Amino acid sequence: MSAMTLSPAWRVTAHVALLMVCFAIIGPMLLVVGTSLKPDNEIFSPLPFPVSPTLDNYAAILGDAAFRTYLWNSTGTTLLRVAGQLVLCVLAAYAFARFRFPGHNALFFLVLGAMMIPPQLTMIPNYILIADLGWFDTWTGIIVPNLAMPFGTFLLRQHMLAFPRELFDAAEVDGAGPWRQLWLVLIPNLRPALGALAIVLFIEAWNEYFWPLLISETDRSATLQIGLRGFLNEETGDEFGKLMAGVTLASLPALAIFFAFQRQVMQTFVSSGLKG
Amino acid sequence: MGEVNLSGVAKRFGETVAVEALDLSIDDGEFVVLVGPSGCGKTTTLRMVAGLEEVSAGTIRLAGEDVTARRARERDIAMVFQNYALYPHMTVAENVGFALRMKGFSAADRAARIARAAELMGLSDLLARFPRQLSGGQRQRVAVCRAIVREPAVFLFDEPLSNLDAQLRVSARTEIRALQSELNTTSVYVTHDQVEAMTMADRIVVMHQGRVQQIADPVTLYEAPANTFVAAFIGSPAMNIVTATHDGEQLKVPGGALAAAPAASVGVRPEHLTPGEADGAFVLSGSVHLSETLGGETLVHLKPDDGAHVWQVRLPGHPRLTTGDALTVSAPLAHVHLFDEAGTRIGTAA
Amino acid sequence: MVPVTAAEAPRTRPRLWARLAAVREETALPLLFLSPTILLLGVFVYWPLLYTVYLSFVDWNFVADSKDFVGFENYSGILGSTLFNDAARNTLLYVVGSIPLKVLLPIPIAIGIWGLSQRMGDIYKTIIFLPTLISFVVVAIAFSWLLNPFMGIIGEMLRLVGLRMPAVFSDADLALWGILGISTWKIIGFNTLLYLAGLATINRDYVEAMRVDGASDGSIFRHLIWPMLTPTTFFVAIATVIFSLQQVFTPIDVLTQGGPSNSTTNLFYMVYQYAFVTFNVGFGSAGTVMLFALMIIVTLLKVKAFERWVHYQ
Repeated sequence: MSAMTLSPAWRVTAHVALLMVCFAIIGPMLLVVGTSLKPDNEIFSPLPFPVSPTLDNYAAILGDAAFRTYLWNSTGTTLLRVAGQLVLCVLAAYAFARFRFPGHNALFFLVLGAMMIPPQLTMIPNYILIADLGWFDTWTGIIVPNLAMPFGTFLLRQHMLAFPRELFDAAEVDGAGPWRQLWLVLIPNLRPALGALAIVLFIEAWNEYFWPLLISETDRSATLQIGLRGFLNEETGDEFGKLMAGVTLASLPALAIFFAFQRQVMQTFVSSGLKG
Repeated sequence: MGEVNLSGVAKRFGETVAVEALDLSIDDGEFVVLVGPSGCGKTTTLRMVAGLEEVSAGTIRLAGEDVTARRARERDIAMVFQNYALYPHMTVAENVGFALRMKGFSAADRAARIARAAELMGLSDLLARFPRQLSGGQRQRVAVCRAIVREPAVFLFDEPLSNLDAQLRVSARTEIRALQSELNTTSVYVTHDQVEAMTMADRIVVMHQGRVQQIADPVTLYEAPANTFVAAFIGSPAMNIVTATHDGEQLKVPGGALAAAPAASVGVRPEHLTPGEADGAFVLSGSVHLSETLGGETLVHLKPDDGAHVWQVRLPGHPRLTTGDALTVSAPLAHVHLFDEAGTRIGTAA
Repeated sequence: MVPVTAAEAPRTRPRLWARLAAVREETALPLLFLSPTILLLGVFVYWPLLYTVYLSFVDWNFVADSKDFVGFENYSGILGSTLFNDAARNTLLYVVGSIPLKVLLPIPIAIGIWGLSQRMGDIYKTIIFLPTLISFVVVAIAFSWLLNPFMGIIGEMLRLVGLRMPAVFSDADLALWGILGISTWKIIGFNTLLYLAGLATINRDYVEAMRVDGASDGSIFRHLIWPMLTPTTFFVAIATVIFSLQQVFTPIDVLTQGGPSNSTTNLFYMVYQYAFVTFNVGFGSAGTVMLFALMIIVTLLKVKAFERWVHYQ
């Protein structure tokens, strides 16, 4: 049974229109990648693709010590942040999904409420706090304020609520306390949800700009997003190939992960949009 | 060592009373079935015994020890759940061995005990499979296997057969009962199916609306039901229970009358009514309203001439009766039960 | 275990301890699990909101020793400033411009994808979704080069056919529309996915049934698809308003820093400008408080919209 629901005339129209939209989406990407592959003498050529493609620009950007530092800072802060976020989300979601305790609803409301508050509304006191703590321009400063993740807590709580209660009972009868029920029974069965959440958190952290902009100052903590922005300000025209290679590299991890786990990622993104 | 003792055990959810103060003593090795319609409190009672539900009042003792405030994992019990509750990410062997792992058994000890229990349940070939690769019947056996491997003081069963098809259910209940006799482990078994209760139990606890109606062995329950609820619930087709009036001499019911003391209602099981009149028996007459063939027997709906009530009569074989045929049946007075206003059984008409 | 005779068992002590242990498990344990999350949210979300309110009543520059109380001067100061005027006007423009581009345009795209075969639809969907994955910094950098009038490739191409590329991001009349354009490029796929989630709830058997009954495409759209999409549209519209206010921060900062002559700044960027460009903490905080009030209103609308959306599903 085909899932088609448009009549043939409309189907043709839809294909034409969608191809145009896709071209508008993908065209700029191809131009960027094309330029990143151009040798120096072709940079100003109006051709979208290099005549004699080269990886020189990639070699140049990867040879740049500053870029490598940004890459390292981005990788380190992102992985640590995502790992921390996952642990905190799992614990908080488990508390909400599994237990009835005084203050349950109030605390849940508190967590949900935080989801609605964009970072720009809290930036001034946070900036002062980070400075007072001595976390300015450090990985700690970039990671710690982002560790609590209301959306992830909410998402995992939903999945945990859908988990059959009988399995907790069985584990309880089998002699497992709440802690072992969590790690030995619940978590192994939540792997798909955790994986999708991890990917969305990774992409979000990798692409983060606002918070590092406030507290990154030097190579000690500047991430790729901050570093690339700096390149834009200082590079001169003939270095555009190198800059395009840089932005291409910076986009690769998220795209690669997406293509590996497409379906779940899209679903999780949609639910983050519905709540966030 | 496996006796269970409930005294004054009650459960309230807010304003609602799920289980009213309940006293029950179960001997070591006894097989007790809690039976009743859904919402009668039987599962809640079982969960309180398990420690999965806190009691609102009363005391629970296992093997003489007060375990009321202990959690399920601190009680020496094993439970078989309605949906089996097998861990989806574990193999059959891991499922069966999980409780042993939690208790800190060594891998070698675990393997030996798993192998023994699996053999007992005929699961030896399935140990490496995951629950999703098993049929419903196999899952049910794994759930039982998981309970027996621990050699607990008490087995608890929460409607373990309700997800099986009718044929499998019959063989499974025989198997569980045989297994229990062999292991001689105290068992508490919850079901809504009175046939299951009657065939399996040493003793049955009939519950209704959170209250115990009667605690007795199957035969007593059948022959001397404590009240109209038990009378109607146990036995299939259900006992005929008819409102009666007393005219000073006789107790009158639609289609018949009998010399007896005053009673609010009269109950006769369909299988105790036989064709024809007999001396000193309770006689009913009327016409055939409907006749259903059940296989080896026939269920006849007998409509008295005044038509106020339709009696169900279970006749052996295939009497060729058609609608409208006149029919007279009778039952020995020892099988005619009398109930008072409140529905409590007074005795028989004999 | 020592067998205890049933009736005379010493009940109180062991039972009390066991009960306390149970309470600990039911209450203390979840609170322990929650504590890191709650602590962090308290320190980095809720406390800052309160502290911002305090800061909105003082005159401070991050470094001075004294924070002088100035009452509502910061508020009146902002309301009277050109920056606020420009930011408020631009915010309105961003919102108004976003409606057709980010809210309405994805509707036919989503319907097109939904109406095609699963395989083709998935390919289109995947391509359109890609910009969601790319950081806004990368998007802004890429477009700043693509649209660069002197060195960008689009400029070079236009030059071939004798056209001149305008300097989008340094032209006060064009810059805002440039930023609106690239933020549309970034979000259109995401919004399309939201609409597809709404469309997914339509039972295709109805479409077949209507077709069998001889309904035209137009009446299928009017009677089946549109009623389903109305609540989604409302929801996407409000979500997009929040997005427009908050997320265009990055392209503004990367491309124009609010200029030229305040033509691209919005209320969120204005707060940043006050606090971190001119170090006027009082103005920045007062602006934040006003924004917060605005956010609450919009968020309440969004929750309402979401309820309706879910209700329709």
